[in-house]
Amino acid sequence: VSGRSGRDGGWARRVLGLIVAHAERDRLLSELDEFREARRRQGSRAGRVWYLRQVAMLAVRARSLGDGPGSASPAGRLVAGGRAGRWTGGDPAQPGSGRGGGSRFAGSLLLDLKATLRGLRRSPGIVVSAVVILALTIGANAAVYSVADGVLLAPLPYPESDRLVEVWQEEPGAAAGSPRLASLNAFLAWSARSRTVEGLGVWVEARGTLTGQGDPRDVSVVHASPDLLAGLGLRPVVGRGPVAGDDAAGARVVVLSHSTWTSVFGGEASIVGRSVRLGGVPHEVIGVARPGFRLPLDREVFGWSAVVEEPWQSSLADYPIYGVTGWLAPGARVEATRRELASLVPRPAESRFESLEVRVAMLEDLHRPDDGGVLALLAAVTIVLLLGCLNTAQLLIARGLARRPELAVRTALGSSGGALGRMLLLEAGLLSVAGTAAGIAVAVLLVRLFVAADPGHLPGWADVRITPRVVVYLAVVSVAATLLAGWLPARLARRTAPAAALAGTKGVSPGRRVLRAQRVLLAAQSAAAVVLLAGCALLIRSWLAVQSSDPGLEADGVYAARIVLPTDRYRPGDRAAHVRFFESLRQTLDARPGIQGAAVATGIPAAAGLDFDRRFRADDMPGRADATFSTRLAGPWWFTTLRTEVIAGRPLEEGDNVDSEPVIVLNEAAARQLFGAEPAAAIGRTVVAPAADQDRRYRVVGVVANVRNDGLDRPPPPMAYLPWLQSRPFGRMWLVFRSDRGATFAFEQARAALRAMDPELPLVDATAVADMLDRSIAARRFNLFLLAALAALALVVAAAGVAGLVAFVVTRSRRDVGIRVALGAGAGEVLWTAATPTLRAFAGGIAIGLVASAALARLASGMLFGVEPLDGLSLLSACALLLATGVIAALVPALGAVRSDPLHALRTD
Amino acid sequence: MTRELLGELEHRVLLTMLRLGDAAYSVTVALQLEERTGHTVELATIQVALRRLEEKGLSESELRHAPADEGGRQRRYYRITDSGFARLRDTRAELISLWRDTPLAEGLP
Repeated sequence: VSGRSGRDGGWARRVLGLIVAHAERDRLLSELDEFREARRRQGSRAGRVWYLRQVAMLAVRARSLGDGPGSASPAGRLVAGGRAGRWTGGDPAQPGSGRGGGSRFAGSLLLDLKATLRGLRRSPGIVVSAVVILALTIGANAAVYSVADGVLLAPLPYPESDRLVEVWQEEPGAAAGSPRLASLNAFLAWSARSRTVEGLGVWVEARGTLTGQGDPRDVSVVHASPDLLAGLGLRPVVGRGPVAGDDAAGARVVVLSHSTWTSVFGGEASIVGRSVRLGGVPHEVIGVARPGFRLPLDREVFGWSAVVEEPWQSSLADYPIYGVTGWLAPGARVEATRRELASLVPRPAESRFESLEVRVAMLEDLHRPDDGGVLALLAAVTIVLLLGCLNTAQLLIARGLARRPELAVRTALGSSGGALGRMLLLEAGLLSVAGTAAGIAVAVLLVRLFVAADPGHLPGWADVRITPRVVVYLAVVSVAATLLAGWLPARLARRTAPAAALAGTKGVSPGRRVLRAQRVLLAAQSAAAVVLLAGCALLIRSWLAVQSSDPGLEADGVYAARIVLPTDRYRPGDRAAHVRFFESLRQTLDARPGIQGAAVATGIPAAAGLDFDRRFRADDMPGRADATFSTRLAGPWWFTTLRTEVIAGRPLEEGDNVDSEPVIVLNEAAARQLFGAEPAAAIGRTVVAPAADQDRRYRVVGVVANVRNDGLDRPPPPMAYLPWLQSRPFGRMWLVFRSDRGATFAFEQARAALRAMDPELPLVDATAVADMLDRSIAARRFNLFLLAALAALALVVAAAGVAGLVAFVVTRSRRDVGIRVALGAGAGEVLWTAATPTLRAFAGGIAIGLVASAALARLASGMLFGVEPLDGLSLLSACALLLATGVIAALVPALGAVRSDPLHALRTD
Repeated sequence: MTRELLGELEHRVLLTMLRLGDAAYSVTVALQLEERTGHTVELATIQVALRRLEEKGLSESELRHAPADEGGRQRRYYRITDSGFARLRDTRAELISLWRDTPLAEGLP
């Protein structure tokens, strides 16, 4: 009765089998079983852990064996010189004869390594192609992982960032991208009384013109609670940070961001104490923040200062205009915190703020975009890596077969059967080390390319680099590549008996098992390739759909810039001054030659603006729920300048001002949502914006076409346009103008018009609207580019796989082919015989890949636009392309076989 | 030719083999050694030591099946060779001579 449990015995056999010959191993384990029984009789547990320890000790000690004098026998030396000798055990019939079987594992590993290197040097073609494929696939992997690491996995650059929350107030149903702002009164109540958040601070961004440092330019300074800045780790490298008393003295101070300091002020330490003019007001520089400090997280600012309460701000204490950030108390939960904070908000003086709801979210969740793009790319590069490994494995199998006779001789001379397997693993290891080394170079290049491309404006993108974590990932990938590429060939080699290998040297065809393994590998490659190609086809179709989708305006020839009126000269709330300024700016610009229209509004498509969310309902349809629309204040000629089609009624006009009836223009989506009918039916009806004290009522005068305001690849949101001339004045507006004479000309005209109004004002964020829209799909373009590159790589690798296998079959069956040709077989028949089995495997893989694509396509649905995940055309074209490539790749070596002289083939044997 | 001496473990294993006679194989050697010294002995240590002794020509081995009442499994039995005996004698002689000339020996318990 065997004392050995099947499970224990199985792995122990495998482990020891790597080190000692099988007969010897079985004997050692049988003795171990006896020993275990004896131990148990003595009352010891001798369980699995004990067993594991015994086997491990045996494995370790057996390796150290073999420095005895007997190992120097001629056969032993030959064996040890070629491959690792193993503890082979003696011939049972001749006691003592086993002394020649000693091994020197460490030494033999080095010898193995040398032999492998020698072998590889003899076939540079295979080495180059394997290393190139591995370098590209591993490099692409590391680069995309770096991005994922930097954008998705790296912690936020703040202390205890896992507890950081943002708190804000918004209308129910507000759009996801709306600014997250809370009122001063709410903040004061929270920071005084909340028990679930700590270190709550407030910040508000102020824009101003920097003068005295070259051209005037618009910069922003974030005014924040000093404690918040310190808590978030401002840690000045020079000077000091803001403190609570800074605002009291009336003097303005600023802490420069590190990049401002280096780029604008040359990184001089003497900057502290100097004065810079911001918005016409001198600010004393008191310090420089540490490199990489950010608040807000998603962009660079000029610097930071202590929050200052402006006189006009106290009248706006109920207006949500502050960012509020703090740390959850240990153990506090987001939802409980939200309930507590909501209960603390004081009743606002103005009823229109009563409907605001409190929101709390972890900073990590807010700034870690749920970016399907990065994850999909990560999946894609993993598939490509798999492909590269499969291809290398296929290469090594063919190579192992070619070297089998040589190794069979060694085996016959006493080297163990596993030597070939070990050599193949070693080859795979060397190739993957070389591939990884080259892959690092590829990754460094790609990461630079990625960072420069900055497609998605994702936070953290600019900081993407090869981190230690990426290096660890690379190491893991490298080992995985070795195992993937070397395991199967090694396993196959181990199973091949030396006699069969010797007999096979002149055989007509390679072993069936080897061929089958190569076909399976090829099928796996074509399956992986088709998944990538299908994904790429889906993205291409999405891209075409985006390109052909109607943006709702004619973007070519339209230019935009923001105008920010400094509050010291244009008092906030002074409607007349604001209207005068912007209306005469619009008219001046409009009158200049080469300008075909100008208008102002609080936002432009695909750009951050001052549009706000507002609730509306149809006056004559009381049963309906309120709808929240993104609302834009727009001046006269807005739709005309953008050439947005007016579907019904009229656009906003100069006559829509404070003296006339309040009116509103809806886009088609908003009109349908409110009135549920044809757009024209909305004209003349009344829309109500609910408020507790007095609802505001607007008459619908026009319905305009939907504009893709959130970006070209997003559905157009329902929008409401209110006449700017009837609303509260804004000191910051987008100026939009159309010209057919190019961007340089248009901006010159705009600058001239602005200079005529106020020579100190800059054009801020001057941009072509078409560029703005284009930027909204930059991430899509980048993803498409990258996936297309990966798909092309996959296509090449798969083609190499097909060509390699067909060439292999042709070479191995050269005599066979020669006989057939000599007997009069046609070229077509020979081609067919040589290529068909390979192509059949390839096509089988494609079929499997199709199923996989269909399953995986759902994952990519977030990246799709105007195309279903299960798109027949995409799948079919991917298959067709791959199949055609496969056929061509198969024909090249097969045709070579047909053309070769049959007699030559026969003579080689 | 300088005389080689036995290593400590080799010495112990050979002495145990001497005591076991025909029944010496890894498990019996390990158990016997354990019983006589009171220290725990790992089987792998003995298996490797036996093997090493054989490589040095101090012992020789033979594969035999265990008696049927012990399961009939294959075991590798070891027997001390002539050079093994010679080495034991040399080692013993040298150790005895070393001990004899050591004054401290008197003071040992």
